[in-house]
Amino acid sequence: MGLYGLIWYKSLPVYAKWCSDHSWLFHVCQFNNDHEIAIKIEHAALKPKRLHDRAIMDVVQEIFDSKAELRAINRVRMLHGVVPDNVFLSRAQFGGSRNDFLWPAKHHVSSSDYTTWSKAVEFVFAGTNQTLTTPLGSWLVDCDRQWIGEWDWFVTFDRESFYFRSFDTEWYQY
Amino acid sequence: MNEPQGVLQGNAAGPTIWSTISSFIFKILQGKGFSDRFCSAKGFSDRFCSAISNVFLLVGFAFVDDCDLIQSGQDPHEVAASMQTVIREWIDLMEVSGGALETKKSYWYLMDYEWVHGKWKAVNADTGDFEIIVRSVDNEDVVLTRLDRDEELEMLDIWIVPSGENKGMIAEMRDKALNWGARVRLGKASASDSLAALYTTISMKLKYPPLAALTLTAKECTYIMAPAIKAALPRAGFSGSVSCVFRHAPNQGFSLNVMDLYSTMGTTRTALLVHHC
Repeated sequence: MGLYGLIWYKSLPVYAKWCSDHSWLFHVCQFNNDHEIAIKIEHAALKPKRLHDRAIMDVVQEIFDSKAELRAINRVRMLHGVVPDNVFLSRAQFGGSRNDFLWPAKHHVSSSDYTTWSKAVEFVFAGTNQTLTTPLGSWLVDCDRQWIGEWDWFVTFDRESFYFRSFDTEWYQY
Repeated sequence: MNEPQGVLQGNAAGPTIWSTISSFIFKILQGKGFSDRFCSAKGFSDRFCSAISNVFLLVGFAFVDDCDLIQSGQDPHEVAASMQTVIREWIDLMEVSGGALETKKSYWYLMDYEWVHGKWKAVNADTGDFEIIVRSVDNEDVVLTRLDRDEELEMLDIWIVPSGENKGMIAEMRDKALNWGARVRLGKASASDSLAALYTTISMKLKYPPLAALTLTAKECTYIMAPAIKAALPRAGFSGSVSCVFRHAPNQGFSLNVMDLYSTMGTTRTALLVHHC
């Protein structure tokens, strides 16, 4: 999806412009959207790491309206595992890392996708010398393990047992 | 002469016994490295590691005598060769446990993915003259039939096709509804029995595939359910073309409470999602 926060609170018509629609999850969200069903599930979510950080798809969807362009940008974004808007991808591949996520999905990206991406970058880094118009502020450092308090499924290191945390004090073993 | 083997046909403990045996077979195959790794974005190294990272190792899936084995990789030749090895191992392990592979009912697919404008499309992978050869019950080498990406195969009452087409499954579900409807029309069930049968037999049967394996549109759901509804409602004293509001609304609203396949699919999946997140 490429946005910060939980998918349940996002507007489907917005992210449907660039997300693939073949997944089970997408169809559930579509069904809920069509029937005005709201679900509230609290769990770990991607968050901004610095003040004024914005998700790249959040920024580009304000600039681009075409589904084809948004999808092209999203493909490049997914290939490189980029979420925030302050990572500049040009001819040299970005080698840095802003988080420790290991994105498993790779996507096929064509040269025209990179052309669209370059165009998006021109808009996103609209300041002097391709800088952000609103510079990033201080780091909003989370504890690296904060997400674990919101996660319910765990497996032991030897992979012999699977655990589900129903409540803070109630666990199920499988 | 061969000694009698197995747990006898119709043994109620059969599925459980096979589940235990097949679990060991899968574990052995996994131990030999024949598994596909499913991973996700977030990992954590401590006494527990997160269930979402590198936790899911899948060799295949099986129920009773139905079994699917999976291999994946970057090169079609390597994948095909790997599958050949897995099947040999599988047959060896089956023999040890008193089973055998039914070669006439076994097939294989080899899929590759082509990207067109950023979207993948399943295509048949090219491996030249490669064939998967297995040992039959009669100890002869048999070439397994390779299926095309559009050819559907039934597993656990669900028609699966690598290209992702639902047409076969929809036709199958519609046939079930048609046959059921014909039996209701010809039978002598009372009004209440025909409604009860609609709730408890065909509706239950038709709601299983969408929950398990495929996603249907509202139009497809209506198309599938129509023959059953049109047969059962007149038998129960209602018009077959009664308003869908009256038909699907719950009993508390003095309505018929007939299952709406599309709503059931959506609400059940939502409940599953809420439970698992």
